[in-house]
Amino acid sequence: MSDVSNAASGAAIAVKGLKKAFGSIEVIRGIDISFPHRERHLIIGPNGAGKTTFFNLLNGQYAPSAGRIEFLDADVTHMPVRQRALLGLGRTFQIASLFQDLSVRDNLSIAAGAPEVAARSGRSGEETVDSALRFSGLDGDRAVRHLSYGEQRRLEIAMGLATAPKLLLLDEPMAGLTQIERGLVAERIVELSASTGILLIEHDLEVALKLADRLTVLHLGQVVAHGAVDAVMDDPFVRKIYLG
Amino acid sequence: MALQLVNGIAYGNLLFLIAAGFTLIFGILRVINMAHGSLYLLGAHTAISTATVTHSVWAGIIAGALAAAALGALIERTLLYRIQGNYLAQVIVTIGVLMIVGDLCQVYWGGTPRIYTLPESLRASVPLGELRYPLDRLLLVAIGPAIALALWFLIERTAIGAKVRAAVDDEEIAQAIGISVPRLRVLVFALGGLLAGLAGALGSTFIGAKAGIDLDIILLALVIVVIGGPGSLVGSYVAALAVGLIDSIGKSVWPEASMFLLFAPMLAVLIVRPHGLFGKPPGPATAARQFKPIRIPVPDWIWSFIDVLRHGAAHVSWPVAAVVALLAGVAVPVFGSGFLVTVVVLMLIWSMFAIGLNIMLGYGGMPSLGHALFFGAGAYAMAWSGFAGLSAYIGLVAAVACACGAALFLTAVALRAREAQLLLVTLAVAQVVWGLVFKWRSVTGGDDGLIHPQAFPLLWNGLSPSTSLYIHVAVAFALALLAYAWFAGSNFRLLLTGVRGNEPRLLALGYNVDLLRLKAILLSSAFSGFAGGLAAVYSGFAAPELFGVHTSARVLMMVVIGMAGTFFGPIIGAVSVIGMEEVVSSWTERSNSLLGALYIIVALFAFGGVRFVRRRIAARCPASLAPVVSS
Ligand SMILES: Nc1ncnc2c1ncn2[C@@H]1O[C@H](COP(=O)(O)OP(=O)(O)OP(=O)(O)O)[C@@H](O)[C@H]1O
Ligand SMILES: [Mg+2]
Repeated sequence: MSDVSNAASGAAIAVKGLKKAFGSIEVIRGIDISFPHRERHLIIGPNGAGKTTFFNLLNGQYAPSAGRIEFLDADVTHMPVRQRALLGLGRTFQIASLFQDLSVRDNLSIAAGAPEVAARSGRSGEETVDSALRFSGLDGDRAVRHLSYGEQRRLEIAMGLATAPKLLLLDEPMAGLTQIERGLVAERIVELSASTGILLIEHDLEVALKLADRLTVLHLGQVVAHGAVDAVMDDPFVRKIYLG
Repeated sequence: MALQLVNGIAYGNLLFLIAAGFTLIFGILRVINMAHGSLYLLGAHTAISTATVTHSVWAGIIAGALAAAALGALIERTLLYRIQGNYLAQVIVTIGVLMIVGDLCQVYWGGTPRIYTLPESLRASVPLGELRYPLDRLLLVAIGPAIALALWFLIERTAIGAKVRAAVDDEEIAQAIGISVPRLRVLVFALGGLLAGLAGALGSTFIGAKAGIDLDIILLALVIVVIGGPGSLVGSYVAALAVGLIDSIGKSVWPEASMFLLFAPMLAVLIVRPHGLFGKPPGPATAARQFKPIRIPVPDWIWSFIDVLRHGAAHVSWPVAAVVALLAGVAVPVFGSGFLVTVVVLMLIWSMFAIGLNIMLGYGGMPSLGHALFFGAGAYAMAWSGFAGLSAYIGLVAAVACACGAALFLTAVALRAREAQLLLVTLAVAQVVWGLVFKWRSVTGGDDGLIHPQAFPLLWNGLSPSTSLYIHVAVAFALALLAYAWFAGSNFRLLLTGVRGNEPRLLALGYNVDLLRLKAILLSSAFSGFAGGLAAVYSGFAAPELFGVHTSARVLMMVVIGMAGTFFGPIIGAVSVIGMEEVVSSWTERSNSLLGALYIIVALFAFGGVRFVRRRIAARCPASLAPVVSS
């Protein structure tokens, strides 16, 4: 039944007329877009384009000023963050948002023990934690506050994975990492996409473009281009924004 | 009725003066100034004395207001600026000041209530229907709005007010454009003190100055500020008028329930609008803080000693520790004096109480200045079970149940509050229950408390009652410790640490954070209520003071001293605080002053207002120079 209806619109997440204003400043200025299931989709745009704000709207951190958001064909516009998470919408944060007082394993087990996760992944919490731990390549007993920046980013992604989401929003997972670490994270993202859809915000185009099935460019709170990677990158307006 | 109406309005205006200073300091500096009652008390005493000596009412009013302003400025300048931004430390320090000032006022002015009688020449009254109304009280009706307007003008329309507002928005920028934030803070405190002192002076003809009035004043200020919205002057005015009217009309219509009449509107407001009628949720906390800790150099050998202790503690094995604890437990009644046994019983009871608070504050990051609510609920439940003829064991169950009931009640209003606001709300709820217990004679015995027959059965013939009590409390403590250990190892504890550290992430993961907080508060109340029940058996009666702010402050001190969030912290804290209190009270009559000083010192130490530094020169440059690029 649900497969049929999913097939009907074919979108993991879709927004219509989405707007967000802080006071008198409109940061998201009317976005209509939909992202299909099981895709690796890259979102780029200059600093302050509204990318993080867009994610915050998608997962419910902010309430939109106008517009409508559908996740798996259900209207989630007014649903709180928690309920969207229960439906299987996961995210990682641009500024790593971990439990600093706990160990790596404890962080992952909080993520894996979250409500509905076991039902979605069909695995026990322990299995999920172990596989997420392997995925992160970190020592489970280390305290998070002793991890390096790059290690914290890896844990951040592993936590996203441990919740077995249906769609995972990754906000600049590679920011501030070394070239080698970026390669590692890119591999992880490819691995992840076998089981979940991914929306990825990234500034490092060299690495990110290789990962993406499709590409969206945000500029001043609006979508200026959307589609296959090559087509979008050839768009004259996009070239103008990016190459001056 | 007209009389009650005018009375209520006059009283409401006085209440506004009381609350205005409190809300100003909280709204601008986010300091919960528990010493506000002391400012009032000092103002009233000074005004009465000055007016009596000089025969000038005006001199009295001015002296009272100035004395309180000076005290307010002094508190900020010497103590509070060292612990800026740390509302827990500020609360403990100002409670210390409250204890000291209350005690010293009693020494200097004596314990009898003092009320100022106006000289004949000033005693005028105006006709009001068939009665005549004293003019001095009617004056309040004019003074209240005048002061409200003046305050509004000062804050919204003058250069000083603009500076204050700038400093509230962003301290760092304010500093950068040359505003002296420390001076502004002193100014705000002086102004708050001035208002409290003025209220004390104006109220000295009918409220007067007496021991304990300082606590009543805080209670009133809290209720008004919580209803009106912290930091909102308009809110304070509206709430003060409402409370004044409710109080004076309620007293004539339904005297027994006057406290409840205060309580009900506060609860209703908290449930519908958690930030009060006119309050706004607090913005992001200002980041820039310039601590000026006092630095005390300490010789190196003390540091090495501490390191050895720490190292040793890490290598203690559990079975050995358990055996040692058991032996110590047996040794106390066998070798110790009766006095030692009582002190240890007290220590064990308060340890359980502190464990309760540690679950909420230490693990869950939810500060509470209302934990006395659970302790008192447990104690009264035990007392009532005694009157009902139930055994003390069932009494303990009742104590836990009653405390959990109180916790559900508290969470109904406090679940959405965080940090300083939570401190304010827990304090307000507990204080109002304290007031209720105090006034509701038929059920609670009022200020006499309940002397009850509840006791544990003697375990065997020939056992002394005190040893029997000791054994019961020790076993209860062991059971509580087991439950506590189970909690510390549980998944729930993990999640609670998550609530403390990163609530938004837990929400984004799909956890029901409110439910986690509710569970934590319930668990916390169970431990505290259990301890309260034991305390009632220990002392043989339940007194309203169990609900008082001193009880809450005491247990908060224990948790803070023992380092909140560590497993053994609350036990270490309870043992040291009770130990210190026993020592101090054997020295002198004025133990309240000494304890207050102790609170201040400990809070300054625990929160970095005073720092021990190593005496070695090398250690003076901290590690910030260290990160040399490696690898
Ligand atoms: N809570 C907020 N209140 C006010 N303004 C905000 C808020 N959050 C974001 N903004 C503003 O919205 C604009 C877009 O911010 P956003 O963080 O979405 O950009 P971004 O595309 O993620 O940029 P970056 O690449 O730097 O991460 C910025 O101008 C920012 O200042
Ligand atoms: Mg961003």
